[in-house]
Amino acid sequence: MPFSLNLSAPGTRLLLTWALMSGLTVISIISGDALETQGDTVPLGLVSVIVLMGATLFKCRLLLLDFLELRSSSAGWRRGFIFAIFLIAAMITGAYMLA
Amino acid sequence: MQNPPDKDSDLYEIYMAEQTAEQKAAQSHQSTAVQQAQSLAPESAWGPLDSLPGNPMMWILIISELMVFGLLLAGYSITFINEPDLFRESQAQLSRLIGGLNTLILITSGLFAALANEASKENRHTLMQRYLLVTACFGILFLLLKFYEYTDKAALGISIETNSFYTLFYLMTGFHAAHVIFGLAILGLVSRYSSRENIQTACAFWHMVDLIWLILYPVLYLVR
Repeated sequence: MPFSLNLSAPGTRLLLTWALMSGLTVISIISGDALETQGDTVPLGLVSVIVLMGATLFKCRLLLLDFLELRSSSAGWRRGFIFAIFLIAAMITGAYMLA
Repeated sequence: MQNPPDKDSDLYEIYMAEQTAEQKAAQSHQSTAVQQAQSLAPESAWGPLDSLPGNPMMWILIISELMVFGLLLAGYSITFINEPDLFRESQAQLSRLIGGLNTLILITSGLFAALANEASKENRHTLMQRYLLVTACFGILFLLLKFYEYTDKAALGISIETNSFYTLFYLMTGFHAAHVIFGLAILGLVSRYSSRENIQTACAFWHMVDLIWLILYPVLYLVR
């Protein structure tokens, strides 16, 4: 029997979301230089911080839309929540640039 | 308005019968209008919050929590701008890998919470309970790693009073861990009282806890 992936099935969609979020976490761990760097105080650099906060924003977006089911909610709520997370990510990046 | 006929007249009974019928019709019309208003009321009771899944009170809590953690992160950002070297040196003593593992653990617990929600929609009660149990197990694993991290720092003599970085670190991660504990209690409660709305509401709370950690991890452990 050939293997078929039903992307519209809720379980499959949730699994894909989880895989994407896990992949983005691994990207965060790598771009945040988290492996074997305990005691390391060398600054990450702006590009790594932007990648890190971008990955965080995208993970939060996936969680809001698929796990918290905002995909079926109104566009105003979706935009509002994603904008709130964007503001936090922008604030952290801005603080990094100023520090 | 027409005057009523004399009580002794034959027309009086007909007149009274017509009056009673008119009153009944008016009452019936009124009660229909009230019933219509009552049937519409629950749909618009929460205004825009009605379009969100689960209990609207939970969404008020989620919005409040986002605001609280947003303010804490604003405080963290301002202190980081003032003391960047202190923050880098303090952050270097954290285990960045344990923070990353905890992120993967919470994301996985979030997946099982979402699957429990789907199972609840399909009325698959046993499957839903199993998914909730797995969600809780990952939550406990998160807390165990957090406890290990705290005891490791305590052994190094690091506490909430060490410096401003650790004050904010313990405040934010401790407050978050308290939410995980509360979330576990809610998951236990709804696995017993498992109405559709209860499951949806508990899962929304768990995802909110997950969402906050997704933001805390890069900020507290990685950005330097």
